[in-house]
Amino acid sequence: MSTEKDKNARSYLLAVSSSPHAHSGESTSRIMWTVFCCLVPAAAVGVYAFGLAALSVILFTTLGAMFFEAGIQKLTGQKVRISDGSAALTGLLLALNLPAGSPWWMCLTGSLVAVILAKAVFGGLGQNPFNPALTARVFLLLAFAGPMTKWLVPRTTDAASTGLLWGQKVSFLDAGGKMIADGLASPGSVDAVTAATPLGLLKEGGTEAVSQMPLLDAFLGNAIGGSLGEVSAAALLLGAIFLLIRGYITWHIPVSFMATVAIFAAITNAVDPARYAGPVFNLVTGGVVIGACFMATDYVTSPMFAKGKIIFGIGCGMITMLIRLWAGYPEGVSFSILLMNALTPIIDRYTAPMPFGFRKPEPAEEKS
Amino acid sequence: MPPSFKGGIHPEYNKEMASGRAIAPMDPPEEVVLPLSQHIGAPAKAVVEKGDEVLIGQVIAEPGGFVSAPIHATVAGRVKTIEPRPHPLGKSLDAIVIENSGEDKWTQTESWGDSWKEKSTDEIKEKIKNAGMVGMGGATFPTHVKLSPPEGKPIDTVILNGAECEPYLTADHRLMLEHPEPVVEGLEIISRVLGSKRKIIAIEENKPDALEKMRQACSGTEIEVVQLPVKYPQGAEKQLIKALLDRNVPAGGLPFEVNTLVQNVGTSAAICAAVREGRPLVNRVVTITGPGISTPSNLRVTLGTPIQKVIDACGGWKGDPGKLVAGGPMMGFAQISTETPVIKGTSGLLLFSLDDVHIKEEDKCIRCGTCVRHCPMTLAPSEIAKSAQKKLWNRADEYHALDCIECGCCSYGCPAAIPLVQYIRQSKAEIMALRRREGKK
Amino acid sequence: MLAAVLTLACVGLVLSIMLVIGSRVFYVEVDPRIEELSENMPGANCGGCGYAGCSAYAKALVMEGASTDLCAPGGAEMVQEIGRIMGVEVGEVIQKVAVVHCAGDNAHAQNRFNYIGVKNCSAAAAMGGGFKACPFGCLGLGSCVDACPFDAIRITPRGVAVVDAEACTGCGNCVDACPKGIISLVPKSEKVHVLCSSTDKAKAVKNYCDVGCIGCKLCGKESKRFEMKGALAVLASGDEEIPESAALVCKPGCIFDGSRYDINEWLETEGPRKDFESRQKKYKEEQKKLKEARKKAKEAEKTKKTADSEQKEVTE
Repeated sequence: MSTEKDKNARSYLLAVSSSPHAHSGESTSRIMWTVFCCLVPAAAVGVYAFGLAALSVILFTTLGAMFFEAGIQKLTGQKVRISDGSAALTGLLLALNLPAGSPWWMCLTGSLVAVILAKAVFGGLGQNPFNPALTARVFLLLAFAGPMTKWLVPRTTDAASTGLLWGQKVSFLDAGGKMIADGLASPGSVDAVTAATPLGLLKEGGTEAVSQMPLLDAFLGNAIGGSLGEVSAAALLLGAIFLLIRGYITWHIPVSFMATVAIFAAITNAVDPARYAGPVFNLVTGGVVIGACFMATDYVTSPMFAKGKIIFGIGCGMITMLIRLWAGYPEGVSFSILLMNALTPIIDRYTAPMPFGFRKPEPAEEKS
Repeated sequence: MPPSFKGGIHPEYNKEMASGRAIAPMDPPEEVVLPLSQHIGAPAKAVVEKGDEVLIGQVIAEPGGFVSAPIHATVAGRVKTIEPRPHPLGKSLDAIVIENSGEDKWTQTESWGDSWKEKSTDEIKEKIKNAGMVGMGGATFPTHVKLSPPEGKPIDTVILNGAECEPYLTADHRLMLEHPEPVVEGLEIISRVLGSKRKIIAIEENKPDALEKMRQACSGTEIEVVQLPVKYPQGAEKQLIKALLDRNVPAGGLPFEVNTLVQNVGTSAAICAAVREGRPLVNRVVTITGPGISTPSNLRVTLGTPIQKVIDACGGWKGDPGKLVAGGPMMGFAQISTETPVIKGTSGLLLFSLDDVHIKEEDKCIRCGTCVRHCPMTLAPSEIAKSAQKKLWNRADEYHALDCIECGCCSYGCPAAIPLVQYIRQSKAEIMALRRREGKK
Repeated sequence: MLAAVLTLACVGLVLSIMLVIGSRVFYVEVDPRIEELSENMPGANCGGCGYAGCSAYAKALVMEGASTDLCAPGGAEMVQEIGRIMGVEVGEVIQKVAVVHCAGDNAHAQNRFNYIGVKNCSAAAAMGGGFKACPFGCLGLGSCVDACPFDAIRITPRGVAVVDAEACTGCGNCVDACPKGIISLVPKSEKVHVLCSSTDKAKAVKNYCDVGCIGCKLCGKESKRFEMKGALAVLASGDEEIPESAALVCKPGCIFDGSRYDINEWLETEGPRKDFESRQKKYKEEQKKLKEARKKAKEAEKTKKTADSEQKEVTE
């Protein structure tokens, strides 16, 4: 050990760390806030369609999630890090999965469940096995089934022909998939319908019930009922494509999820066109686009490896369709993603890649 | 062009800082510190004592084993002492310290000139060994051992690695621009020794002038000068072989398993000097660059020169000293002090001032998969790191920690700033220790 | 209704019969001593005995004849119990605790570089031996804390590890975990410790730490139990009591007297060291006075002798 040198030496100490000594500058908060911004178009369409009630839902869930996360972090003596955007993102995703007319207490309950029950108790960021926003949505669906199935009348509804006012809460649709006031379910126009969304109508009345619904409207989000964020597949895809280009999500899950849904729908539609709707209908209605592009691609709860992602996407697609077609609920995306989240660890275990140049060792070969 | 290797990153290269600077010689220092361990394998054994007078090029340490190389005096003068001194790899290791008398006196060297073409392969290998030749790209594997592949594995293709994929470094670039002939002749010598038919020089396309120069130098020969896309780590030998020949070096194996050999262009030029003029390895080209150096340069530095002297020769630090890296930013070693010497494998000195040092707090892994996507060995770095955090070394082994080439692509892109390479290095050490203990049982 | 009750009752009956049969058929004869031993164990599964856990040790005691004194957390009481249950003679067990032989924290020892990376002593030590200028110094990143199953070791705010002797059971996990190897197990009754592990010579030590051992050997003069390992004083085991003076002659103050000071206060506050320094000063002055008094006495003796002999001459 040099001694004289140390004595006279430098008044500075060099920084020593392991290689590499360069960094891309990427950070968790940048990723979270970018995904948040990519959801803003869909949120904007939702607010436009459903009015200030939608905005209040978004504010309550987002700010509520941030408040609860800050609270639990402070209570457990951790550093308060809501600025990393993960709580805000969870809140916004939850909002996009709720009906626009959700009462404020339901929004806050949802945020609480998402941030604390589904995330903090497991260890916080990076440790949750289930998608927090979806866990909260399913919780609310089971606990408050009524409010969760009351849909707001979207803005572009023609008040004259339907007798509905913008912002009115209803749970019925007519043959065109357009909402009608609760008291007007006259035998002539529609059978007993209890859900004011296209999928709900499909479940009750078969394809004939939705035959007059223009698919383009459903794609763009024109006067179609549904959750706050489900209405415009176009706005969602816009955000998703930006994330794809940026490299924040990969194509594997969205493509395999949506392709499975489309193929499943195409096959069943071919077999029984009266009962089962076609692939396009199934893609543009309900939560497939938001589910495949934003919920199923959540880093923490989806597989890390390419092969695993495809298995995950196919699984989600199959379970979604199974629930939609033959189970009690009109919409299956939330459940399918949660069920596949449970399988993520085992999918990861079996799809981990082999190192470059890996060769299976022959039994006769001696280990060198 | 076969498909490129999987993974890899595109960092900011910043090569313009030094790529325009011609190689300039640097005056030898007053005292050189020559560690006995400048290569992979057994450290060399000193054959001089305190007080001995030595000449430049004189053997002062013999190889310490089969995989080893001799060390030569790089200045003429007196041996001051042989004691542990700070080494660029972190610890203090035995080194021979020579006081420079200032005279340019060389020991006798045997010059073959063109007659190397008539010598036998064993004779050529012996000359290369006696010149203390090791891989100069940074890996420092003794060259004469590399040129002796095992029986049954003939080398049919020799590749010269002119990719220089590390950001900031330009030593190889300048060498190819300014001295293309020794590089080419070195390749001829290597393929003569191995009896290989195919000769390739691979250069990344961000060096168009070097490509041009090398193409000119190789016109009339059978050497193929191949242009490669710019991607890090294109210059890693397994990835290079995949990109050029579409051959997969087996995991845990070496290139000779697929009948290939890769050598750095700097080594090739040094081999030429050794074989033609009998010159042992006493100096090398070093790129001194980075945002923290006043005058970025490419200098021919005498081996054993304390890094502080090299920094002074380039105008000193710009700003407050922050970090000093020996090598490139992706795989280089951060130095503990500026007193460590330049050794055979020091391809570059990267200086960062205090403002430029990245200090990020390690955060939780969000399983984003960036590391998995970028790993050129298609491993799962985050899983290995998680195993290391929990001290589950067997699990780290299951995720193939030992196959990691420590290129740094994973840590580079990690949004949570997790020091993945450090965890993987720790896992490797623990797995090897476990295996040794179990082997003993 | 009745059908439901009957059905369930029958199912219950069938299952209970199956359970009874199963418990008889699959019964495994287990030595009752294993059960009894397991119950007496501390149950921390710390691994200090070298077995996988407390019940594994109990099994090993009965089946493999393992040594009876391997359980440090259990202490002397447990060894007696083992003796009773196994019906064997047991020797005396000395309760041991861990001691960290370093007091070189931020206030006293220098760093040689600014470490950025995994916050773990083994990882930091892998970088050229660690960021402390002293090659033997405690890095204070907590590998020992992670290894301790009893929460008996912690890192002080100034960055050095310290053991809580009351909570420590002497299992030895921290000793293995420390990459510097500066933790050792000493008898709990031993109160004096040398808080330094550097075998470097005085010149080097003075450069990097105020409280490191400089190898002056003065402590060795006060008590034979202080032996030298290189330029480091090491306290050898033994029964001989260590005099107060041993700590007082140590200039850097690396000999810690646990009977007088509390280790936590010693490391975290200035009070104990100041007190130590003033006592040291007093002791030096006393020694000086004693020396002078001895000198005077010797001279007096000498003059008396010469006076006596002169007297004798005169009388003769």
